[in-house]
Order: sequence, then structure tokens, then C-alpha cells
Amino acid sequence: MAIRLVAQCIMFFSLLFLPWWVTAIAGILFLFFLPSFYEIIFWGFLGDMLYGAHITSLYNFSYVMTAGALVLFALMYVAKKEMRLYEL
Amino acid sequence: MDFRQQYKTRKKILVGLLLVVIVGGLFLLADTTSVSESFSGSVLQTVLPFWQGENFLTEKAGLFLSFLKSKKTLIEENKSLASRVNALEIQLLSKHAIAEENNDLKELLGRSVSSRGILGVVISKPNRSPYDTLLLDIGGEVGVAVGDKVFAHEEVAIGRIEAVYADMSRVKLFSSPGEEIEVMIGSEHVGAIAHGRGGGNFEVSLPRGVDVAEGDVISVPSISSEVLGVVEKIRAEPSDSFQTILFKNPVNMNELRFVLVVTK
Repeated sequence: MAIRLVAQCIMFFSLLFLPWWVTAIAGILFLFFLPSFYEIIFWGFLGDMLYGAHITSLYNFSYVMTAGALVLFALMYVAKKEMRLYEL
Repeated sequence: MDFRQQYKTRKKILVGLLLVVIVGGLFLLADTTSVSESFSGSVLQTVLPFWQGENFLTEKAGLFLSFLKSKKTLIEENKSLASRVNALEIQLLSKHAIAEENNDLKELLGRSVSSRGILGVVISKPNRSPYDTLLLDIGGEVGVAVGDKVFAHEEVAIGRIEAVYADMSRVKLFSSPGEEIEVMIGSEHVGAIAHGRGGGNFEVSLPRGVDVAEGDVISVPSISSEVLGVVEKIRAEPSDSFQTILFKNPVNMNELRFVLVVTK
């Protein structure tokens, strides 16, 4: 529980003060090491609320970070199911 | 595969599809309603004290670090900066005179170039999101509106206001990936469309016959002088009839502290 709380703090502060790719790497690590880190979707959504803009090349879509978090979460969910490391 | 397994697989696919449809629907709904705008405003208001704290700490840390520098280094730096300031002041004098003459001539011909600008403090830099956006500490309360142009150092056009809240606003940089902007290149003012490549970088395609050199200034078509960038590299293959010009905004967006918002 404490580790999960620390993870949320790291995600929050990296979202506010660090480059986006640091937040992305931290998110991937937490997805990998914590059991179902579904909070990543919330952090993606918060990122979109803070910085989001309509992207012309994506038909004015403005939820890139949320969509990215959803895709990462789904990919990691499937990958973890296939990995022997997560059998127990 | 027996019937039960088939049923389970079909159920999983159906649930997956349903989730995709629900999430997609939510995205569409959030994009078309003003709910997301007001929610975004509330979120920004909540985290604003953190960014203000960061600005305060950065300023104080800068002051503290300057104490740690050696006296000799400071004297040398001071001398070099003083000579640079002197040289720039002389350049600026002639520039001011030319700019005034330019404005007088435009006014004589019935065109006014005066515009109202509001100074804004940058509270979040573009490297914090993949969107290439800036957050400013000024908003609708001081007259900022969606579509207003944003400048750095008065003449360098960097972006447009994308969203306005009570005391904050979001700027989408011209260099955002996928953005297109009309530009004039070099002293011959060749017109073209530049494409944003993120982080203050742009790309423009021109026929090979057009004379462009590295260091040429690229500006935005306007009655006043609006610099967008400086040509950094020209890529031209002998087999290609077009040349690709890569140019960069002269301002480092990650070091930007103040901007000027020119209201309509």
C-alpha cells in the first residue's frame, strides 16, 4: 500500500515538473512492477486536462495521454498474463 | 476447441469491443462538450500553487547558486556580458530608428501597426507534455481571448491561445506536431506553408530553384515584423525536385519565462 502511495506521488510530481517522457517511463515501470496499476489512466487523463490541445493531424483529438495510458495498461495486462513471472 | 471455450472467447471479444466503444464514446462526448473545458480549468486552478511554488524556488535557487560562483569567474563573466550589452545597445539604437521610420511610413500610408500586448508569465514549459503547449498565468480576466497571438521578445511569434480560463491560459505553439502556418522565407519573401515538428522546430518544402541559405530569417506574413525562425539546415537530394528546409524558432522554449499576448 505504501509503495502504491509513493508511486502516486512520483506520478503526480513528474507530471507537473518533469518532461513527459520521464512520466511515461515511470508509468511503464509502475505498470510492470505493481499489480494492475490502473491509476495510470487517471494520470493520463490529468495530463490531458493540464496540457491537452487539439491535434490537427489526429482529427483534433485532444486525449493523447489518456489514450496512451489505456493502450499501455491493456498491453501490460496481456503481457503480464503471458509471462511466467506473474503466474503466482 | 469445445463449445464452452468458444463461448468464453466470444464473450471476451465482445467485452473488449464494448469497452472500446464506451471509451471512444466518452472521448467524443468529452471533446464536443464544454464540460471538459470547465473541468480542465478547475484542475489547473488546483495545481497552480505547485507551479507558483516551483517558480519561486527556481528563482531562489538561482540566487543561491550565484553565491557559490567564484569571484574571478563572476568578474570575467561580468566583463564579457558588459561588452556584449554595449555592442547590442548600439545595434538596438539603429534598429529602433529604422523601426520608428518604418512605422511612420506605414502610418503615412494609412496603416497603423500599434497593438495591445499583455505580459504573461510562463508557468509550465512545453517539454512537460507531448502537445507542445505553454501555460500562462493570465487569462480571461485581463482580456486574453482564444486565438490571440503570443510572442517572445516582442517580435518572435511562438503560438496562439488555445484555451482561456479565468486567470490562466493555454498556448499551442506554432511548432506543435501537425500544425501548419503560412510563412515568408528569406529576403525575397518566398511564400510557403511550414509544418510544425515540435520543440520550436519546423519543416518546409520548396522547389529546388528557390534560393534559400542557412541563417535566412523566416517570418509570418503581417504588417508588423513577426519572426518565426531561422533556417538551420537545407536538405536537397540531386534526384529530388524539392528541397526540405528545416528551421528553428530562435527562442529556447524551455528557458522562456515571459511572453507577450497580443489581443485582437
